Amino acid sequence: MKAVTWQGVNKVGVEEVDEPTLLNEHDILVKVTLTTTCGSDLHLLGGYIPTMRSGDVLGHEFLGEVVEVGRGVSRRKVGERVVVSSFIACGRCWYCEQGLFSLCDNGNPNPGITEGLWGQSVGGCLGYSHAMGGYAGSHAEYVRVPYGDVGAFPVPDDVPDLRALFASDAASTGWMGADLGGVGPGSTVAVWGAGAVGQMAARASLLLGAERVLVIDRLPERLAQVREHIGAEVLDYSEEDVLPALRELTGGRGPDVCIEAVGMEAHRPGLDYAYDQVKQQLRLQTDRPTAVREAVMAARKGGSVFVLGVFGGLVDKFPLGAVMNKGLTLRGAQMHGQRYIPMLLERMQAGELTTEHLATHVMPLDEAARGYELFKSKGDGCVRSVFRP
Amino acid sequence: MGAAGRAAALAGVALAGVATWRGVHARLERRRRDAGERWRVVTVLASPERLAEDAYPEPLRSAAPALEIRTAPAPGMRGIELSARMLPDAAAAPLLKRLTGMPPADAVRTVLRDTKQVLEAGEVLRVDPRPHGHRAATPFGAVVDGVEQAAKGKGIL
Ligand SMILES: NC(=O)c1ccc[n+]([C@@H]2O[C@H](COP(=O)([O-])OP(=O)(O)OC[C@H]3O[C@@H](n4cnc5c(N)ncnc54)[C@H](O)[C@@H]3O)[C@@H](O)[C@H]2O)c1
Ligand SMILES: [Zn+2]
Ligand SMILES: [Zn+2]
Repeated sequence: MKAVTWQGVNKVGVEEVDEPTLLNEHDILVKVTLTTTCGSDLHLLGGYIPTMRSGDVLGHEFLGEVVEVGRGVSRRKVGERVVVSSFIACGRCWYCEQGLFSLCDNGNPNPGITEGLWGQSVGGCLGYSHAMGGYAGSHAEYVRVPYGDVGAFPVPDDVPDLRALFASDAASTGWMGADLGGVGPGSTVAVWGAGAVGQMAARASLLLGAERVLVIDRLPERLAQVREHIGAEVLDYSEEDVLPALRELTGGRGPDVCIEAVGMEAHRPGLDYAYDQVKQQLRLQTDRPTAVREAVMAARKGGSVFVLGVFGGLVDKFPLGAVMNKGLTLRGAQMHGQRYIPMLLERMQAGELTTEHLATHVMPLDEAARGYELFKSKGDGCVRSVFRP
Repeated sequence: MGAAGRAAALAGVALAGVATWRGVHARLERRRRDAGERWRVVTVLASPERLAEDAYPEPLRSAAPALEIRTAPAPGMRGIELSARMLPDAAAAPLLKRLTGMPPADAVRTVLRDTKQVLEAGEVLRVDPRPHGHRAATPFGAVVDGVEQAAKGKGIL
């Protein structure tokens, strides 16, 4: 079958690979209908997550049809249209019981790698490096999904493909940031990053009752989407100083909840950005935490900061003093899709949550290299390139 | 930095990571020799009967002759704490090696992790064979392959 593979730093292409087979009794096999690029892939492409192997099949956010189920699968049926959580979880361990699915004890066959990096191993993710389990991803005609009963969810008939697709990762991630960040009725929320993840975090905040939601980015077409499709306010950081602007817009308090949806490759005009770039390229720090720093500085006293953007290792010049003295709650997580997808699909069905606008570039899988180039450079107003295998 | 420079820097980081890992590993091994084989523990969300001495599931059952094994209830309804360490017995290390192909500490970690997974999720999760494209034979690729191969037995556990 055809699949999109990582072929080295900043090199992706389409190759002929073997079809996946069921390996465990709880596996299902899904024929992929739509599979999208995600900001997380850019970190893999750029070589910032150093356990990629040439030939690895990319992709973790997708929708498809169940074509085979293992003997241990009881809920999923052949022929169902399903959306699948990007993180793999067993549904039976203590973490899964707590709803913390991306922390599943049984989702990553390579636990020693992340345990060495972070002290504890976390769950596995499709198509996301050997540290995260070494699974083949969804940018292919077929993908094997372990724990199919737990991670794959049937899509109601009247939810269109291009809406359901984003329940797989972007919408679950954004919802998690708002939910676990503590957004509730009356909250004031600031979101860094107007990519799919940031937009979904902003929409979730509004649906959870936030009174004021501000999204920060510099790309005009994305900020326009936020106004038009999400219903939140925007702040262009290339034109305004974010910290004083946020103070002004929040009654002098600062946002109650700050959600960071930018990640380790944050951009910023100015000297500190050059400093971070150099340190990252020399591997003196692994990540550029520009937006997290700003979120910590912006949060109101006693407020919370939720890190949705992916970070891999160490950062420099982190304002820990602000976290401590302002009494902040700092939290982050990989997405707990299994916890949110059924609810998200209901909201999608009810029309409360729409995502079709995120799929700015839909193309055949064969054109994946062009799709990633557009997505990486944010060219032609690209928010997400979506592939049809 | 060009792509080649970056790849070299990456390989450097990976090697440094492996070196750190080796460092940690070496320290643990030293500690083991000083203090005898250390207890390693996993918490299994299962009822105590499922870890009764006469009913160990695989791979714990096969490894049991090489191990001293303890169980205790975990606090807060989190199941059972399953502890194991290698017996001070000349036959223990060879048995563990035969079962897992790994040195003792890695073997104990693997046996514990797999036993937990069998009890909680029904079977041990597999990932190979999996679809993949051309695997270039590069030094960096070899490092990643090696790291993955050893990953089940490594860590702090
Ligand atoms: N936690 C999870 O489980 C999870 C899941 C999916 C994605 N992610 C992460 O979320 C992040 C966003 O993903 P995406 O798909 O939306 O990516 P994206 O690349 O489309 O969007 C990132 C946005 O951040 C903006 N940005 C860059 N620097 C900024 C700054 N200093 N301040 C404000 N905005 C800035 C960019 O202009 C861009 O619009 C990535 O790091 C991705 O890895 C995490
Ligand atoms: Zn993603
Ligand atoms: Zn689990």
